[in-house]
Amino acid sequence: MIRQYTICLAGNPNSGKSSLFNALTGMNQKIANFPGVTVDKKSGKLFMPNGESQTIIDLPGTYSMHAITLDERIFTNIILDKDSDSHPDLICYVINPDQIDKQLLLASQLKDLGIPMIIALSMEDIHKVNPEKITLISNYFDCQVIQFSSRTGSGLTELKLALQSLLESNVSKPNLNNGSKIFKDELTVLGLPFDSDKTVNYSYFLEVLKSEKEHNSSAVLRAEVKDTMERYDNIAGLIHQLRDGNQHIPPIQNRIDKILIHPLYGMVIFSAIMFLIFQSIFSWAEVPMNLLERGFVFFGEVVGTYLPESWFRELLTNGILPGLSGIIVFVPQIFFLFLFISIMEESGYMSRVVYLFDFWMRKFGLNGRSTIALISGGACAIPAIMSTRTISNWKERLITILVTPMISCSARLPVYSLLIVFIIPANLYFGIVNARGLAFLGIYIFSTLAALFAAFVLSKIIKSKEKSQLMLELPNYRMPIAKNVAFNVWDKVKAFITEAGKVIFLISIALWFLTSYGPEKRREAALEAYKTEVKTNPTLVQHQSESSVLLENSFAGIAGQYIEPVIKPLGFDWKIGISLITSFAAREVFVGTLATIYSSQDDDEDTERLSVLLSKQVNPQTGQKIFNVATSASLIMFYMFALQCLSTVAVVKKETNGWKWPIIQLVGYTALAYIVSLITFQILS
Amino acid sequence: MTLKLSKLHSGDFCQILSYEDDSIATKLISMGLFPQSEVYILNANHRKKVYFLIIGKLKIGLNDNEASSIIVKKLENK
Repeated sequence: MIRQYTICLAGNPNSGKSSLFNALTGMNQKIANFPGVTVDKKSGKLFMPNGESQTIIDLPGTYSMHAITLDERIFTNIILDKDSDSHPDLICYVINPDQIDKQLLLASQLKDLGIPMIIALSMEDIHKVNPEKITLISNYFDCQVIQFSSRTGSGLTELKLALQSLLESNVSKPNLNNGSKIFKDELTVLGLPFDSDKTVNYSYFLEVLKSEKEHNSSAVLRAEVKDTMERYDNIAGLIHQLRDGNQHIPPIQNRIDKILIHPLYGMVIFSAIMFLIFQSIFSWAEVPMNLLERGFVFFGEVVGTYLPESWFRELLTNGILPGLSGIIVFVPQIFFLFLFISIMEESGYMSRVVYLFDFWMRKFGLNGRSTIALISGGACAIPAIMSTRTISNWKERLITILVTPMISCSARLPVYSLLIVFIIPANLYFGIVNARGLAFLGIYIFSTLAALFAAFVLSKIIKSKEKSQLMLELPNYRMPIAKNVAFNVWDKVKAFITEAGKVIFLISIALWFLTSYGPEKRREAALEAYKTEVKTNPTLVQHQSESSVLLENSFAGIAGQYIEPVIKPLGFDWKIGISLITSFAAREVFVGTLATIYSSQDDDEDTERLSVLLSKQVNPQTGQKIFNVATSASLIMFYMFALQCLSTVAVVKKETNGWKWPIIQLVGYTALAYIVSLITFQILS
Repeated sequence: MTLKLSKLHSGDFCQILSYEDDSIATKLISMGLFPQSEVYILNANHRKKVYFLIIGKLKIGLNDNEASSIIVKKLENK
């Protein structure tokens, strides 16, 4: 039987681990990482030269085994917990050769843990390390050192061969500080309790520090500083030998930084980038969106023409296809959103944004790193909330978690895109600026301001004496690696299609049944009454069709009318109410539900665009259009604040270790959404 | 003359001597702010309480709390 091994990629942030992971695993990744900081482990299959496949894990980048933030603790827990499934049989320690100095400290700590290790020097294409220096590192750490490039693929085969050979030999090399006396003495001097019967190696030393952190924090801190300083002293000689004459950053990099972190120019450039992103979401995505929409219309017509009349054809044309198209047509917009976020992260710009906004964020009880969560929240709240693991201050982290879902995410995109049409005309300013794109930017600015205001209020309620920490490494600017950007964007788009697609597929089937069937006697009586009324009042057919009477008396219609009194003050009818309920688990389902409900009552043979279909809907009592400015604005406001996303609730529960905060968040958001929506409708109507 | 890093201005050079706060010293050292390292202040924004440092090929951003925990010796501008 082939033994399964686990290989962990470890290293400092920005060392090139994730690029190596992508290059080694290709499309064989189990779970997706997201644009932003790697804050969770991700695993994939690594196919070795001998044909066997082994598990490879990419761990969050960290500077030291003395963890401060949650993402660093994830790293140290996996490395120290021998019972963990992810505990490595082998560590592949990735070093960015541009800054070898600081990366040797963690390497020395990992080496002392006795786990077999290989050192992989990244970026061979940009910074080739000379063989003498490679030998120096190899001799010091008593392990193989391989240089590679994720961009060109050079050195990857050698690296795989080295990993395979070390796994096969199963040899654990001696530690740097093998003698247990050093750690024993240190614990004794600091007065930290330990089990004297145990072998006090580095692993046990770290476990003692971890367990004593709460009770003896000052002694533990002293131990950590001492450990770090001693290691630095030990590797100082090696660092000196490895340093080359060129210890300077190219002047162009500093010149770019002086502009991008400038309090005024930096803000102007950031605003311009955001403007470009939202314009592109609306303008560039229009052509592929139209093509997708036409594709669905064409497919619906083909199905309607060639399939024999049956319940199955009805289910496809009035249930599944409108539901799915309601979601899929928005994929181009989501693609552009994730593309820009990914490029900002890959190029090194995102960390400048953190630096630029730290002061302002602290005014609202947040942290500079909250900016990453708030920007990523524009794509999806789930990875954004997980990215808060890099914030060490609990209060700042909690507030970021609580307000991030207020930022308009990609799941709201379909809802806004559909409804903006009823509020803003399709004008172009100066020939290029799309009016709906501007409105879209306005919605994002408004939701960001609302999130900041909520953060400010929460910062006055939640008390903490912990200090705010920035300590941020700002990587050099570089051209984004196309492969990394492509992986990130593909992962997110795939997740959107599969996750939202699964839900809308099931809901479309259920909704089609609930809107197509109902109590027979009630439906017949209603239809009879309608026909009689039409005889006396022929103009009624302009506002109400036979199909809408049947829909009103379907199972969904009856259920919807029960909730109508609650949502009527917001300008919503029972059909919108049904869509609000079905989208409770995921906002994007709202559009698919509307498509299914309105398609089921549409008497036209032609399959129409959803916005056209909705624009025709009138209130049978008043004869006024249902999707007018007031209702559409009220709906946008509702979706801006409502926490219609069960995945967000689940991730908040996980990140806050309990139900208290997700429940407070859910109730608070729902109440806020109702009130804001009510005010909007009452003012505009 | 020794002083806190937070007292320096954009364009200044300094050498790190010690750290006042143990709770962040480990991280600062691990990130590459080694004792005796020479630091160039690319940007010190005292009003916004952020500091952009260059140490060799490394760039680090600190807030005022972190910058004021680093004791440095100011060097003549190079």
